[in-house]
Amino acid sequence: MASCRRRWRRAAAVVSLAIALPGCVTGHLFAAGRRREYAREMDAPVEEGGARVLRYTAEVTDDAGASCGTVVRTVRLAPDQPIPTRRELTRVRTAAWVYPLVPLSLAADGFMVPTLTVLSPVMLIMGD
Amino acid sequence: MDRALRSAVAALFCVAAFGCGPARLPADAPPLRAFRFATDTFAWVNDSHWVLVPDPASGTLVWTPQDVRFALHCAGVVRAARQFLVHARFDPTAARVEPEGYLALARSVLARDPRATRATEPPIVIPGYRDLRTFSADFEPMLKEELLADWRSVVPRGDWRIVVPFTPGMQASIARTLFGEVRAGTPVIARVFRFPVMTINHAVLLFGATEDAGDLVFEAYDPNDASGPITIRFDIAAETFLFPARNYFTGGPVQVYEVYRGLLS
Repeated sequence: MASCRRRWRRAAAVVSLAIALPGCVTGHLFAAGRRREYAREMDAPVEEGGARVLRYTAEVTDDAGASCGTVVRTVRLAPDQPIPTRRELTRVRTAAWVYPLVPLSLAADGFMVPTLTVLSPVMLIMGD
Repeated sequence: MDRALRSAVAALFCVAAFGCGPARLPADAPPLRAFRFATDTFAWVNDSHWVLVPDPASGTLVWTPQDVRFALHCAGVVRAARQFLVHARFDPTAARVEPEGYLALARSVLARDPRATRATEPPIVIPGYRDLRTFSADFEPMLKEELLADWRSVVPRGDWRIVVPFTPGMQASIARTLFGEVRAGTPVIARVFRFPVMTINHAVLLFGATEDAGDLVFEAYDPNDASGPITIRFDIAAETFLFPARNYFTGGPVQVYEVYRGLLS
């Protein structure tokens, strides 16, 4: 009975460690879904519903810089807010399809992280 | 026994967390002189087995194989360049020695701590040459053979970090740290890569840093190019490093971290 409880505690510790660390599978999942948006064309601000709204077209790239197309974005500006520069409109976000896959990736990390932790000393001993 | 083991593991983690402290500096240790590209780099380059060349038919860049022997040693070359900067002193007024003497001197330099960024021992004097550029031009085959023989430099121990992902915030933190180190006069050896699709896996030596339009701009010694330094930019807004187009890389976002610093890197 006691040994069974110990085993469960160990398993819980391994899973907690996998979640706490920037796990390889989970981290690479987020990296695959990372998107950067760079404002390319900006319209003049217009009044909409009593607020100034800026509409702009942004180029979307993935984490390696490959183009994923364009998207039209709007931002509401405060009454006395200057028009933001293109650079200020740069955004880093995560694609929505990443989140449903996170439970799977955490489960995979539960196996991967301990394995890599065991293998890493080989690199540390052999490496320059 | 269990307690002793736990203490050993705790000690290992402490060392890992804080890095392998450099040997204690003598009180009168001189500051490291500034790295100068024209004199502190090798006269030759680390080659690539594959290079991008324009396709005459389409005009696009295509990968072409090269028959080269001295390749895959980018980390070894920048490591050696920093070892010569930290651990050697060139004396052009001293009489030259036989090639065997230079081989012994080069081996002594390369045997010194590659992680040291300040001299902890008296420098190894290279007589008859004014700098690494002229010395390496005269002894290209010998130095290349020495670097090729050092197979471990193909696998710097810090390479384990490549597989563990970096977030944009972590890259921003690394950029600020590297910027501070380089501005303080420490040449930094940096791993430059993409993962898991490894379109680049390279090492450079960062020796200059400035701010430009809010971005952090690094001047770097690319061991694959002896003609001049390259510029690596950290885009603060997009939180990513941008590596220039080279004949081995099309240019664009990369991930960067420091190697040859501390126990785990």
